[in-house]
Amino acid sequence: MTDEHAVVRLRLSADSPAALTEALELARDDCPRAEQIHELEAALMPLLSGGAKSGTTSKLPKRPVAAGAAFGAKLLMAAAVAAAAGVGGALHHFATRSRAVPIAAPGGTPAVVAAPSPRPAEPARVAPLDETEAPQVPTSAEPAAAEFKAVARPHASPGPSTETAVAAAPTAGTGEAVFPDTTGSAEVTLLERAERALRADPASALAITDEHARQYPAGALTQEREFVAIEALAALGRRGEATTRAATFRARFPDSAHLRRLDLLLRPTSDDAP
Amino acid sequence: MKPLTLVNAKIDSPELSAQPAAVDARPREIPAFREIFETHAPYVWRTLRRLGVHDADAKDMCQEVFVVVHRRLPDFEATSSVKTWVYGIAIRVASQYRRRARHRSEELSADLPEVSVPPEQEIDFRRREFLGRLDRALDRLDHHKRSVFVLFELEDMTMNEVAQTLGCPLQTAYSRLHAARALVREAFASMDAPKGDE
Repeated sequence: MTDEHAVVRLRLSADSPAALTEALELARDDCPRAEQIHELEAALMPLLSGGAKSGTTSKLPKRPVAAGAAFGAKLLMAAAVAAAAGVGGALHHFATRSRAVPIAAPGGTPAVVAAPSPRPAEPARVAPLDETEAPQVPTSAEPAAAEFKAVARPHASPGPSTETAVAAAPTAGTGEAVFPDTTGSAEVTLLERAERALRADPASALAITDEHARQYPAGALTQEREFVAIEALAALGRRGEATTRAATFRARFPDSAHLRRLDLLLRPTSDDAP
Repeated sequence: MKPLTLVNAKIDSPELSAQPAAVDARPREIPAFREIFETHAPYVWRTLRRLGVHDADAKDMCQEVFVVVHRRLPDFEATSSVKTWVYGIAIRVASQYRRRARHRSEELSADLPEVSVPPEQEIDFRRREFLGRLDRALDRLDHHKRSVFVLFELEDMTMNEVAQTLGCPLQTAYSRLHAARALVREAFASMDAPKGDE
């Protein structure tokens, strides 16, 4: 039950094709360039300068937006969430130095924490995190998907009927019980933090996976965690450890879909392009 | 740069007035427009791109989104989250864009132009290749499924937030995600491996 509903994002999923994982990663980095944002800002200036508490010059970054100021606040939010889950030190480290990777979707409002932020003059304040939102209880006029994982869809039918075909369960009215939204669950969230940290700060990613292993020794995402850890070790140049851990992984999960990606990852030339 | 008046003219449609369903009853402080812009603009831009807005149009469409945000901000129900509200507007702007573009030509679903790049731009080339693949896969999805996929897989929303943004029941959001994932996977499986991926 828990396993079935802990919907893992595709780029973390064990059986995602490597090309898809990479495409999703690149898409997450596909933020506008700084000059594009500044053009947009200029176009909106009549509105931006008309606001009650603005009139100041731009707080947007002068460097590429993907490394920009707004992410600082979100990293702090990430740190706050993870600290609540017991990751404190590692993620604080992560939050104070990682700048290159856009963090997730924007939270409603940045949170708390008196840690260095690249955003000038941003007052610290406490705001509710979106993750704490109450679950939505759907009024199910539309059909429900009962089994989320197993059904393969023919690509010839991308029309509206697909949903109906997928749907099977007579769960109207009890949606919340049948579909607990675990996509923001602590285990998933923690692992996503690790995955997100991989590029900018593999050391932190590795620390988070250690924390994950402590908190969820028999978690639903053990394979994914080990995969992220091995990627982090490889990124840190600790290839020996990465190889050893990959061997353990192989012995433990001989049928894992991650194995092929591990092979690619640990090939003699780290760049797997031909 | 497009004058604001022109932009305003084309977004005053009934569809944009529809608010996504909001169920979180806790009141929130309504942030200032600038704060909303600074917090969300890069992500709205990124979302619009994956929803099929051409790179050349991304700025204008992003501008549309925030013009609507600005105009509707006084009416914003503080019972929903700003994030899902802003994304909901972006989803509708992208939907209108695609409908307009369909009349124009096939250009949206056309591949990214093949450009020969010098070796030092290999990373950029690789990026374009993979993003092109992803966009072609996403082009197979209808707007509903595409929106769910983008919000969940790329914007890291929870499924509750996705459902709230789109104003649909949670089960429906799950159904759409499931269908979208199957189609995207299949699209990737049907494309040849991009690299030494034996």
